[in-house]
Amino acid sequence: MNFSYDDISAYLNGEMNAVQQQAFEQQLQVDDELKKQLEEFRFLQTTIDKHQQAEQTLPELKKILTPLTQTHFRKAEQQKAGRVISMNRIVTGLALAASIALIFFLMIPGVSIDGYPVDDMSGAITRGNETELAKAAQLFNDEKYAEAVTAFQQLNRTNPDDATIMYYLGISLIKTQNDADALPLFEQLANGASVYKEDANFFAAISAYHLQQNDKAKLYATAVKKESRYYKFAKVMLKKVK
Amino acid sequence: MKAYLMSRGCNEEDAGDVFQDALIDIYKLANDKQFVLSCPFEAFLILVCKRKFFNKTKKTSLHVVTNGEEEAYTNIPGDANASADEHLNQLGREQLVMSLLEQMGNCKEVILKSLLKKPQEEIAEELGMSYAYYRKRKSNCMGELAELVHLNPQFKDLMP
Repeated sequence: MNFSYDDISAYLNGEMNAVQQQAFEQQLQVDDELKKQLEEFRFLQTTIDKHQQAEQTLPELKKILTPLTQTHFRKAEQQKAGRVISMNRIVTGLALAASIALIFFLMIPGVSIDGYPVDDMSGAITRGNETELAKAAQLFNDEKYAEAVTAFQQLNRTNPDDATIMYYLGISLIKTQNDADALPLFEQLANGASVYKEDANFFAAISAYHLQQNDKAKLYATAVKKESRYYKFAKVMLKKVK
Repeated sequence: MKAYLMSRGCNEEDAGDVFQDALIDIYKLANDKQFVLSCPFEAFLILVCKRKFFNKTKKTSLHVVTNGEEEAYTNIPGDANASADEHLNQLGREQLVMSLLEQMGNCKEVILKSLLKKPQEEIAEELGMSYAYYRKRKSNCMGELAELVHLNPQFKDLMP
């Protein structure tokens, strides 16, 4: 079956009905090209979204940076006036260093391995699609993880082999600090053949890491492939569990 | 960094621009709070500044001085450099996507609006399109952008 960009967009934006979504996910499991296109599409969407949001807050950042830059990188004409270093300049220099350090301390989550990205679940509630799965997806996308756990657990009881339910239940469990229950789910996915297999390696690693099962964390973090968007997080984790 | 840039023939004002622009680039990269820095911040900042300066010299007639003191200013130990390189490539890929999007006229508007956090039906109305046509247009535009990215040789160079 051939899927177009229209289908990929519909999948990522949760605009497919349950039958279409299932067909798409089945194709994803066997079609590497489609998987690649999905990743590319996701990359474009998240990149543009991120940069667009940054543009909105940029004026505020420039208000902080511009005067500091002007103070510490003097204009060429000013340099001709000679070089007298006052205590004021030294104090301002220290203030600049502190400000920049503070800005980046606040902006960048540093090497936190818990800063990993999680995609919204597709198939959340849309008109005409208010199944239990759609409701659970909506709770997940709204970051109501405790409620999502309950919803996914009910679904998991009736559909114990559904990889999508296991995957999002697992993430909801991690988000609610219930790593002991999340780990076996991700181990099962990581050792299975579903489309979640690759990502499950990372989530199994992070659950094990939270549980201080470092050998297991190392095992699964090592299995995260270089092409995975979780690779850099896995690398940071491997450094920590060394 | 200032000393390094000035040793390459940059005046102090240009060095300030390079430094500030580099900080802004990193701010954009980290804006979704999902970016994890896996090398010392200094290593990454130096690389971003160096690339910005290099690009500036290409755009202007700025003459680059080479005095063999490169390492003295920017020597970064071992694997920190490899990690910083990876981040620099990620920044390059994202900037390339944004610059290709800039060239896409009406498609740019459709794509940017489609990512706003409001009902898609409302966006279609704002763009003066039927909802069905808007959905088609949006996915066609994303397809065009994906194609442009694919065909761009620079993007391939920036892939891991």
